[in-house]
Amino acid sequence: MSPDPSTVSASGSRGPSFPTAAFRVFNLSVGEMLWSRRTIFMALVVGAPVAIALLFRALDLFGVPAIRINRVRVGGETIFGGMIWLLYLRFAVPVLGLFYGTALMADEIEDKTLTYLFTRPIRRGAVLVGKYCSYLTCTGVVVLPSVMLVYFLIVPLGGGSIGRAFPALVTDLALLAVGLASYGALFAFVGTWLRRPLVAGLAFAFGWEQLTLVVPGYLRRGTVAYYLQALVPHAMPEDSTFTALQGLFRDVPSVAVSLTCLAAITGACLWLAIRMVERREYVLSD
Amino acid sequence: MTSQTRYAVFGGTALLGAGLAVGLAAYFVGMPAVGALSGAPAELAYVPAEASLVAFADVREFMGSDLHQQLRELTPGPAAAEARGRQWFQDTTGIDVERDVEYVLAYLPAGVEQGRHDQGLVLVRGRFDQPRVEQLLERHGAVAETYRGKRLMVRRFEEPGVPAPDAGAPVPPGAPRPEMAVGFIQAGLVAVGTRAALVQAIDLESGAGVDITRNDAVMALVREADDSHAWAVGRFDTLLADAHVPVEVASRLPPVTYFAASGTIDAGLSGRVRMEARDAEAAQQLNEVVRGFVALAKLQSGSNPEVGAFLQSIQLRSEETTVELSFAVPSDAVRSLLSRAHVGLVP
Repeated sequence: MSPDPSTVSASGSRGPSFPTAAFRVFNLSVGEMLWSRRTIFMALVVGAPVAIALLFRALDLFGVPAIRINRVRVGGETIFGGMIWLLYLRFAVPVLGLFYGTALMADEIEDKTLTYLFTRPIRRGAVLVGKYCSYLTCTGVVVLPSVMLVYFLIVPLGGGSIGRAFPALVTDLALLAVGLASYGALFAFVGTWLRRPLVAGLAFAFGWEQLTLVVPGYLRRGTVAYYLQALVPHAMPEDSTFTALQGLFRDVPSVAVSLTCLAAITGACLWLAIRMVERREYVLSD
Repeated sequence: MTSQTRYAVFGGTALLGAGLAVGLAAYFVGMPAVGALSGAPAELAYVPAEASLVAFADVREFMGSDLHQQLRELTPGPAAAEARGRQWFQDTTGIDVERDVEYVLAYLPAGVEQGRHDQGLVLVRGRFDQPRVEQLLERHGAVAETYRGKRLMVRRFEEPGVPAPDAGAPVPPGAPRPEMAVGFIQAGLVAVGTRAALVQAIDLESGAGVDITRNDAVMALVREADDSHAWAVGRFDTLLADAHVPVEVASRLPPVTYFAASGTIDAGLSGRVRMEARDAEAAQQLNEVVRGFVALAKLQSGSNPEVGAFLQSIQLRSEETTVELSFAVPSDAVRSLLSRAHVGLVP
């Protein structure tokens, strides 16, 4: 069996294996991704909940309850659950997945540096996988510690207990990691497939997903949010008419089904993205 | 990967790991309310969410207050009897109530059976000689047992040869046996109540069940009272139902859901009673009823300037569904009131 031509160097020696190549790309791109201008945007997205948590904490120090419903103070654990659902799962995770996922290959095309990667004796798919792992690392080391800070600032408010809420925190962290992986893979595929991935991604995350979740029927099964919301350990706050409508038509899949579907979405999208990268002819125009 | 990137990745991971380690320790070691209750006693974590009444008293603050000293000076006879009683208790248990007890937290569960006064739990924070207290309880018929690693001393009263506490009311067959259990559930924390209540408290500490700190309505009232030396917060409708008040009487009472009473003792005495009515209309009715009683009391106190001063200090405030009555009595007025009461008591 002849070796894959893309993994044979000019001198004729075989290149590194797929995992080794992906690791090398990861090693190279994690720094680029972490210190890019996009990280400032990410810091703003995940810094906002921390700033809100600090504000709530400051209000609490002055004896002003952060949130009251029907004149009853809302406990820290409830506020934390609401923040995870509204600020992280409904906003930060799709937005970060969109902006980083669609840019995995687009940045290299825009900077016209893709040629340098593709002329290496490694499979093109390894470049995408390496960059996808960099995305997971970058977002993981920024988003998850931010959640941790919010947890320690918010949960103790109003009599909440850090120990008691710990299992929910672990579930939240795992959920966010799964969400970042799923949205990242989905938008990585969109980024390799479409010419204007950002517009399509925005339409998907804030148009299609929002709309189908409130429409009765099977359409919602074509979203990532449907499976993610089934894993949320907190009661979902009814923040708007939309979520109230969601409640009316709520059919929640089981945890096993949700995890299986999210794994399938992630795997399938990554596989499609790899195929797309390996087959597509990239033209770096001026 | 540059060293700068490596530091950033390791920094984020370390922050995450440290947070998880602290959370894990809080979960397993049983620090249910570390820094959580901002002034409210951490022992609230041992109170079930469905408790109908929770009360707190800062024994040390009361014992060291000027008011307590004045009370002793004004009532030398009862003060001497109290001192003798305290000395006997100290000789028997090794506990000096004035110095060793910090504060007491107690609760009453919802659905208390009629005629039974042994339900609920009293949690006492202080310094205790555990072996000495356990030996004393064993001498009085208590049996030691262990639950989730905590040692409980359980005393059942109607065991053969031991008279029931209420001899006039025989325990019907199948009824729960009157009992008393004492458990040192934490260093410096003793719980006294039924075995079931102690077991529930230990379960709550282990994370099984829901404690009252999850009850936002109660905690909102507790937080507003937690700077007081003594307070009580409860569900008025539940207590009323448990008290088996006749329907005719209950239907005429204002529809109050929660209530909170708190008091602060230093040189003077100040207090606050807060009632949460079912709706704004009920709060208005309640406000008018209380205002009427206060006005009547002021009319009756014409010849009594000390009582008049106390009544003048009463402030009544109503806001949406809340009616709040507060008062503050200066030390001189308290002293006059106490001396008048003492003169009235001594023949």
